[in-house]
Amino acid sequence: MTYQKSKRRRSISTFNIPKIIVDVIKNQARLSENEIYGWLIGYQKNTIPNVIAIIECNKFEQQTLISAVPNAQEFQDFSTIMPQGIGPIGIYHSHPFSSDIFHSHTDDKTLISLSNQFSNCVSLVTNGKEINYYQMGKNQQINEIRAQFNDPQSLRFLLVSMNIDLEIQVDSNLLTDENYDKKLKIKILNRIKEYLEKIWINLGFYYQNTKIAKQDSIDNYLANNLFDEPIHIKIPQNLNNLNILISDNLTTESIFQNNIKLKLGVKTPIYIVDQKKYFYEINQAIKIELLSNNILQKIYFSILSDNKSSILLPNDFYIKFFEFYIRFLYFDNPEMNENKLSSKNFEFIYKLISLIENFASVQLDKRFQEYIAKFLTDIENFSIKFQWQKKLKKKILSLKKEYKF
Amino acid sequence: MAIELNTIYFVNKFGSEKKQIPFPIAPNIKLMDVVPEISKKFGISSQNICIANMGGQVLTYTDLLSPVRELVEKFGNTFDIIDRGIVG
Repeated sequence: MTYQKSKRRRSISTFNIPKIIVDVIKNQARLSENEIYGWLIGYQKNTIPNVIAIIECNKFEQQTLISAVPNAQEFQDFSTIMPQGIGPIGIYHSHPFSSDIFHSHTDDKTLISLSNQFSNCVSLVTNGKEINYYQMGKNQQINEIRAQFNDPQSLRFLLVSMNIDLEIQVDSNLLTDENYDKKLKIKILNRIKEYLEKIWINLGFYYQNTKIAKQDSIDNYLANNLFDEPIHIKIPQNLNNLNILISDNLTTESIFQNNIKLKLGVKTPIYIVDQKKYFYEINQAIKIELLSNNILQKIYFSILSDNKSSILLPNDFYIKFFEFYIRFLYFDNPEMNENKLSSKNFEFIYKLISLIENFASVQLDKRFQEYIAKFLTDIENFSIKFQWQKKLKKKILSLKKEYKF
Repeated sequence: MAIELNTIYFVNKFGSEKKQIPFPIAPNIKLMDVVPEISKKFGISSQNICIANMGGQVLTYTDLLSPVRELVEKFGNTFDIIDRGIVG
């Protein structure tokens, strides 16, 4: 696609974003006196970014009429629940009360920094009425780009699962430490990470009990929903002998009397845009998602049983958010949920519901109506596990009424 | 005598695919001293960089002044690298 500018013809980059999302962003900007900020969520296909959702920034280190500094924790919170293959591919913000839309020097610096992490990062700026899109070009030059108002395509994923049973021997001296619970978990987390990093190359991928070759195309294994048969990642017998000894300092005085059982079970979707890829090409992506975005996080939020004989890990709960699944953690035990995960989950779910409220202000097509209906149903099912269910019930009901679900 | 190196892992979650960089480092070095190098590896401006652990806890300036050995014992050996993404 080409267009005329400064008497010189040159190609202009494009990216895909649903018109509904653009209208929501404009509406957010119109309703705020300060700069708004948020992240464009999506994937990339053939170097073209495809926006399929947004996350609004609610926590700022600074938010004024002319600047916005988002809180890093908020980015960490939402990027962790995103599945591999889908994530923040751009940002949006507003210049309130400005008649012209421009990309400031600060915006340029940030877009360059973000483009070093994701090369086709998109920066969207609006005054509530008009909207412009920018991308970094050659020699770090910031160019205006064009949006194509295309709806997202349905995405498929590889569903991968891994189960490991571990027996951990803990130095009894460590259990007398005042902060033994946290100390122990971090030590286990470090050891398991080191262990899995070391043996990852030897792990076997199995589908319906048949080993998958690394040169196999992933096309035949793609799933549409979380109940499909997963690909099982297995540790070979000769490596399945991890003897974890946990101590403050391994000395002859260490007494390994306490055996703690840890059952690690994960199942996660890995979203695939290019279905022609082979397993060896996505091996690293699977490893990073399982190890660094799932297993370690679960160990971090785990609970040591009262009799110190087992470590209880939280479960995954998947919520359909627009076109993809996002992951939350919960315990089967309500008391554990309240002590450990309740406030974090509530804060995030509340934030997502507020985002969905913004969509009520624009004309929705059938696809977006279905997204929102499914999202609200999933939220209702998830909230049953927490005491804050009642707090959200009214809000969800009024949203359902507004959307006529 | 050879200096013992520990590997810590940095995960960047900006973009559609999460990326990880293993970072061998001597345990007595302060993380702050290698922040410029980490920034360079990920292409994040030093002023914008933020480091968090797997539980979502953002490391403070004081944390960054601790030796890596202490940080690994306190927060774990894997960290998220975050670009604050300041706009104006």
